[in-house]
Amino acid sequence: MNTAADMVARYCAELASIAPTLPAAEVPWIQQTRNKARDDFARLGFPTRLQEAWHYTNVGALQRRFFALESTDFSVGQSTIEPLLYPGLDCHRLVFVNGVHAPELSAIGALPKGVELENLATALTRTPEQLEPFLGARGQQTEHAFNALNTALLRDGVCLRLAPNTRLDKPLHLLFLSTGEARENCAQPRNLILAAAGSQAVVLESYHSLDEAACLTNSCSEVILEADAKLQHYKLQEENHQSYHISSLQVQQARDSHFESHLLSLGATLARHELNVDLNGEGARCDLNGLYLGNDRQHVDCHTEIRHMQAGADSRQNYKGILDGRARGVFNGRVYVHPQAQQSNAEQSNHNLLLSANAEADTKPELEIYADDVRCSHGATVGQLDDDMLFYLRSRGLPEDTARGLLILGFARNLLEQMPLKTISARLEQKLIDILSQSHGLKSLI
Amino acid sequence: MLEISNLHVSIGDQTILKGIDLTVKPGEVHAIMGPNGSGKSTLSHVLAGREGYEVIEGSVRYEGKDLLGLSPEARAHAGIFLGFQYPVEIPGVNNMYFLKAAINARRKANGLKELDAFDFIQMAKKKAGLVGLDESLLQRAVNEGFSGGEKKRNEIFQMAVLEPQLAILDETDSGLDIDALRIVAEGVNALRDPERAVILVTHYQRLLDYIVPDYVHVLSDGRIVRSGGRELALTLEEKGYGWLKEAAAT
Amino acid sequence: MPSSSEDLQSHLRKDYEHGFTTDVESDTLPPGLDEDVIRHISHMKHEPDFLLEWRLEAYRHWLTQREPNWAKLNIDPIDYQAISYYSAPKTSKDGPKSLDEVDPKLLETYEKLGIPLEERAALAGVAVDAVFDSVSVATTFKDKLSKEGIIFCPFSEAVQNHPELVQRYLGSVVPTTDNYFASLNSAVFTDGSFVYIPKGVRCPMELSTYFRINAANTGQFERTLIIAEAGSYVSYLEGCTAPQRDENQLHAAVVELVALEDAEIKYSTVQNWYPGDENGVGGIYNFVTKRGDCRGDNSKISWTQVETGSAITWKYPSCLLRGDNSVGEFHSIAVTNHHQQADTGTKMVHLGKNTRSTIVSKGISAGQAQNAYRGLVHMGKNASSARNHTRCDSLLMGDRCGAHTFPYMEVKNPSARVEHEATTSRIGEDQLFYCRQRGISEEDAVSMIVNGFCKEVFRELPMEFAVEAQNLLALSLEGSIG
Repeated sequence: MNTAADMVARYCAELASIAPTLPAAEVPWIQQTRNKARDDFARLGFPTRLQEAWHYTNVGALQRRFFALESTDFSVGQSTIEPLLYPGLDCHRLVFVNGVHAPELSAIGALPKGVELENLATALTRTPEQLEPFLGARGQQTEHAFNALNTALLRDGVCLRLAPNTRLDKPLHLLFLSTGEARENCAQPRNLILAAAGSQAVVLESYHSLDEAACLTNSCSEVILEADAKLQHYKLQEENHQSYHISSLQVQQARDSHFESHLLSLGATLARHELNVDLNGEGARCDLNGLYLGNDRQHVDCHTEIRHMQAGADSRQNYKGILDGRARGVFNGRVYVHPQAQQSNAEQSNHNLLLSANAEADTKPELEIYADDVRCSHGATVGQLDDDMLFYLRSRGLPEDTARGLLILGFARNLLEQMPLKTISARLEQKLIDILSQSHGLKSLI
Repeated sequence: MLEISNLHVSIGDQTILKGIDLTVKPGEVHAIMGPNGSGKSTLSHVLAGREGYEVIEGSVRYEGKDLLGLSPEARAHAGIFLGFQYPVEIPGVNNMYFLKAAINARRKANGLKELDAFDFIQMAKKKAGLVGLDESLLQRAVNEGFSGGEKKRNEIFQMAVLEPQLAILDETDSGLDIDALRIVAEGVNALRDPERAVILVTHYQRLLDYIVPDYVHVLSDGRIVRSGGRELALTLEEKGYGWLKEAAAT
Repeated sequence: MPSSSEDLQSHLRKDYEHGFTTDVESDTLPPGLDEDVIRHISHMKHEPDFLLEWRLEAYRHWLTQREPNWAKLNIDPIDYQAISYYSAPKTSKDGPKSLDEVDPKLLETYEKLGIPLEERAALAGVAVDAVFDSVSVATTFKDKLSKEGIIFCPFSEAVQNHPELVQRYLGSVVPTTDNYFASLNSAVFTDGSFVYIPKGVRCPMELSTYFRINAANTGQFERTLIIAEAGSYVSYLEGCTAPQRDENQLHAAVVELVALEDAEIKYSTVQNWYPGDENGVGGIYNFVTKRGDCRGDNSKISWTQVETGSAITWKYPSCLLRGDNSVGEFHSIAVTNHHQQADTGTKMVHLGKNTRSTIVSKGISAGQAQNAYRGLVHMGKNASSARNHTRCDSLLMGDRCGAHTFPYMEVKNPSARVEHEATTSRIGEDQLFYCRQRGISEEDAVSMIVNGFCKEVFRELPMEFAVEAQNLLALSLEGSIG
């Protein structure tokens, strides 16, 4: 009993049984998309370590338990979310509880002309035909089990559409809350951001647990940036240490568009962040920054794939890991340069700090290059705090653990400094300090 | 030796040189001065045959023959040397080896016997001493990890070894302190010879305190706007390039 | 680097230089593989029972395996039953006792290959064991070496004369179950070289083996075993060539190195198997398992390879750094042109304390070739203060080739340090112009820049090999310029 196959079958059965209750269930293309994805998931099953993309990440523990897909009513009060908001951040806000929109907690507010912001369930019901090109079966990654599972549900999330040359006036804060109460739930947010030519937006996704229940978040986001569009994307993942977090973000970039991503991964027992960017036009640029912390038995896996499909695009990646306790951090970044993509510039770096005898860092930066007039480089390191620096600080009278804490913060900080939105970076830095104070003597300083 | 007439050159759709006329005879030293962006480096590159420039009008004759049809190496074999403003680093390629290949390629093209390793090293060491190049740099890769001054000195050293008929020194003085400048200048002066011509491309007149030119030409917006003797450089220093524009306007 | 552009030009004009076949009558088994073939090979070689059993075990395991497909290679299916697993020149049956007994045609072959046999060998200070198709033909300098207690002989001879050493060490680094091609090799290997350096002995000359595949439709499965006892040192060179043929020929070798306490093994390879023609027809499939075991403390193994040949190269010379303070090195140049494919790199497995490894990989890709570096650096739990530094540079020549880098780094010890850096570039136009301005032709400039790019690796090769390797580089990049 309880083999992986049984579990896959159980998900499929539940998906089939709740299908009629899902939003826009009567729309044929939506029905087909869900059915096809369910078949894909049944065929693929959960990934195993034999698959190269999952070589360092074992999802065995995740597939031994069942996370309920069916939504129930959860009463979450305004006071519960208050501490999760960003003081001083004037924003549009959408809140999701276990992957389902909670309108009473959300505050969309007034929107500029040309901006459509709503939850996906509403959009699917209101304008299904407009979403088909993006969510229809044609556009789906059929060989990705978790994406298939997400698509098989296709229930709710955010849908943001920006008309040409519009600008979302304030950042959009998406708050994803998981709560178990009596059972282990599965949240599967599905997000779609369509930014037409010359439009701009800032989006912050944050993921939190409201209790100690083990939940699964399997989020799937798609971003399409047309010519000259700009998106600044922040993601903070701080679910509890029992939970599982799997996410994939697919970005399509047209000419001269700019995508900027800042990831801070702190929570979950297993967190996997996939970020795939296709640079489809000249002058397109992406900057990806990521910081992942692991402690206890946490496992965090950052996967990026940047595909330079056309000439003259730039990509830059900078990921850093801080691994303590028995944690394991994985970075797998791939840069692909298509034969047509001459004059590509790609830089990729991954640096890891290994702080304890039982922590592990695995890193695999890859270059796959089919064009000759390119400048591509990558660097990766795994190491420790610099002894000389440590000594220097101690010789100035700092206790050792404080000195270590400061240096760790210093290691992380330059990523936070890259964030243009200071209200967010200040808050994240505080988070980092809180975490480091638990194991290091930073509190005395701050 | 060199006759440039009505030379027009463009890069892409931008015309950089708009009708240059210049005649250089053996034994002469010509200084070409001008503000940034006036076309000085373009002129040097076109004379050495760098790709990416289009000659849209005019001609360049060198020792009576058309120069523009020749490949960069054929020009080098004919005795043209370009001292680069930004000498290129070539990782892993030993400086001595590089120079030996260069000198022998030229000797071969001119029907001379190639130098053997012994003769070459003797000669190279002598020339290195002449331009004050640290001998340890000879065994390093070409310009790799050299300081700005070392790179420029290496250019002069290469010129000394290759003994060109026409040396074009593109902003050789930029980035040099006064001592380095003096050594570079001494190297150039030592090579002055009735058979050899030098074109000095420079932004500042201070190099001309050390290498006294026979002629000074001022390049502005792709044209030689004024030619004169040594005194022109001093006037320029005193009054600045703005003076020329005013003079041209009136 | 050729001393003048003339030398280079003459090299560039040449086709695959070693593409001649030698007309020697050979004893060849009909194509096909089953247990009887293995028994036959073992019988012909008068092998002891343990070896036959060992082969059969490997064969049975091989039957349960599938070809690996994780490398970045496009391989036409291989029909293992169409290959002949044994081919010996007839004269070698009785085993030549000295060079005089060797078929003059073979000696001529080696001469064409430029192998320093006979006096030339003495001048070069090289002892040569030549493996022609599947059997070792002659080993020079045996006497001189045996005075030092060094054993350098064909593998099959070692099986006869030193079975205890063979039994003790064979498969101790690369077990029969290691991978598909290692299992196949274990089942059918016919010959190779055997080296044993006694305790405290510094081998007085470079040891060298030339491998050559000659007969059509044969596979070559050589097995090399080098044992360096405590405090000993040996430098071993290996060269490979094969004649030009339309069909693909299989080469699946296994090399095992064992370095005991304070011992050092330096293993250099210049691989120049026939790469196929410019349309990708023919060429050798080179699937090689090479691994060194730094078994003792303070031991050192370094691999240096210049890979210019083969249609397909699948090869990861590795070091198991078991002994404390042991050192592993990998220096590689891999050149691919036309339709060649290479997936090569190394594995540095750090198990002992304070172990060190260095990886320098230079990949050059031209024509429509694909060139991948794949490497693993593993820092085990007990590898405290272990260090690795990896540098991978790729050079692309032309816009139809590919250069790929797939490093894997696994670190389980918090005092271990791993650094990896990689770049991909092409020859800069400004570099070319600079050389040409100094009078050097474009072709010479390219050759010079490529050799400069590879210099760190050439430096690791013994002198006479370095020259050969540089010539090969120019030869294999023929026509890729401009």
